Amino acid sequence: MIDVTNLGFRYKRRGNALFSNLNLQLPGGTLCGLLGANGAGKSSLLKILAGLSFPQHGRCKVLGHEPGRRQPEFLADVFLLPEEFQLPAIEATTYAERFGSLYPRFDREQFERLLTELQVPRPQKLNTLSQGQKKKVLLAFGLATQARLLIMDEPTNGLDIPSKAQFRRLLIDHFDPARSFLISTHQVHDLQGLIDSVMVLAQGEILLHATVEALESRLQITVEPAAPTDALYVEKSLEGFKVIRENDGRQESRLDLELMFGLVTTGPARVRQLFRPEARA
Amino acid sequence: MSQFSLPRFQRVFLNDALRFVKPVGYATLALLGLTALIYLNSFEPGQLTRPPLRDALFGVYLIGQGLLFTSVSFQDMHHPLERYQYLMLPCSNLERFVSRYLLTGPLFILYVILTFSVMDWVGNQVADAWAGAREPLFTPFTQDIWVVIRVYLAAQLVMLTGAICFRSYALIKTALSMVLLLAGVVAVGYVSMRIFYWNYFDWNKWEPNDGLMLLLEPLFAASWMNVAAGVGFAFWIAYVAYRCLQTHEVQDGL
Repeated sequence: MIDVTNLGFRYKRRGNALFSNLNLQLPGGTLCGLLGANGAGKSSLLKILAGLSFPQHGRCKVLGHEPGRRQPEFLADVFLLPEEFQLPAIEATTYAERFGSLYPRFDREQFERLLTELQVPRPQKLNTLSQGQKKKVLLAFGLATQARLLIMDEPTNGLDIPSKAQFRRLLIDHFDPARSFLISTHQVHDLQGLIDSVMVLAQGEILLHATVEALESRLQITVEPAAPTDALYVEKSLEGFKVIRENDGRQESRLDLELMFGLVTTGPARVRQLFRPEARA
Repeated sequence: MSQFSLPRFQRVFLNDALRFVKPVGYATLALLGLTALIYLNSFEPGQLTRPPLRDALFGVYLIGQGLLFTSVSFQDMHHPLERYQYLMLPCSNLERFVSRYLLTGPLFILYVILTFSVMDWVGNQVADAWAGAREPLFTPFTQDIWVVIRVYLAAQLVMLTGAICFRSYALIKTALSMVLLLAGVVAVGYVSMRIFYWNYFDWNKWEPNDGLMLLLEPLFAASWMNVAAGVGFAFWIAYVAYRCLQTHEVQDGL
């Protein structure tokens, strides 16, 4: 679904290259979390994948298209939910009539159903809604377009706690093997239990890309009273020390995204070694 | 899917038209009131205004209102919070561009002709009822009106290019750019003529003699062919600018 090879990108008005040699392959039917610190380049990568920014070198293919060519059939199959946006001063139904008609597979009934499910107040002009409600409208719209790739940039920013749960439920309900959801966030807790694979972007490259299953089988997370010296990563917490070790296969543990993110960003070489293709086999 | 699909273009066009209905409608209503007031103060029983007031008003309304409208026609493309919606709509660059061009160019001319005819009729009625003065109704089929339309067709494409290139104050920036550009063209043209047509100039005079004007006249005559070639070239420049610059602010991380 996404195939990026040796991608290089820099903003013209800034000095350093954001990506110099980025590689990324994402198969279809994936619910993938893109994690990274502030300024790591998550939003820029999403813009490149959506055809809004153009790499200086390398190859970028999304759904078989070059995003930079911005062909109508590509734009109909990719939906971007930006972090910040503005909606026009019209009601949701009018919005669907006007913009949904440009998406060949747009399902208006599903859009209406999702708005009801997400408790979006109606009838009300979209520009008067809160940012969280606007996000819900755009999320419902994106799902109803039946786009094969949904790109979401910090989708949980501005959502209250019940809405975050709604958001997770909605994505799981509408996920199917024909489409992929790529969700970028720095609030890793919001993706816990939602995604089936994780990418960590740091230092201009994808430091880790693995399925949650692979991470859980290769890493073991425990809470211990003292900080061990042989651990891959240790983080102090209220209960003691959260520890990541290489899984010896005896114990299953649930993935802690925040802890795993700490491991990847502090010890990238060790993580690369652990998740290189031979190690997985 | 091709770069231009008529059904898809119709939907893009309808969306764009609905976006502009309100501001253009309000402007037209304001001008309607203004026209009635101007007619009321200018018309006198048994006398015609000279030069015809309505032709001058038509020119001001078309060029003034039209260039202002054109200068803000790509605001959503430049707005940091609106541009994602605009740029991610599944349609081609050509469809987006032609839609905005038609709305601010040829169709806007038709719209102004239609609404000005109504304004003229209403203004006449008001002036007649209030002061007992009226004039023949406005007709667009005169030489003066066609000159105004040709000027607008050319100026509108320049303003459209400015609206694409400049994120803010497009009207002022385009006007300033045009002044500088024209000054440059005139200077380069004059120097070139003095070099290549040196025999048409006296060494101590700025102006060429009449022979040069006769020689160059066909080039600058406002024939339909020249106007069509000029408009076609300006359209191409505007489209190239659009294709290159539509995502430049996202690209530059602004």
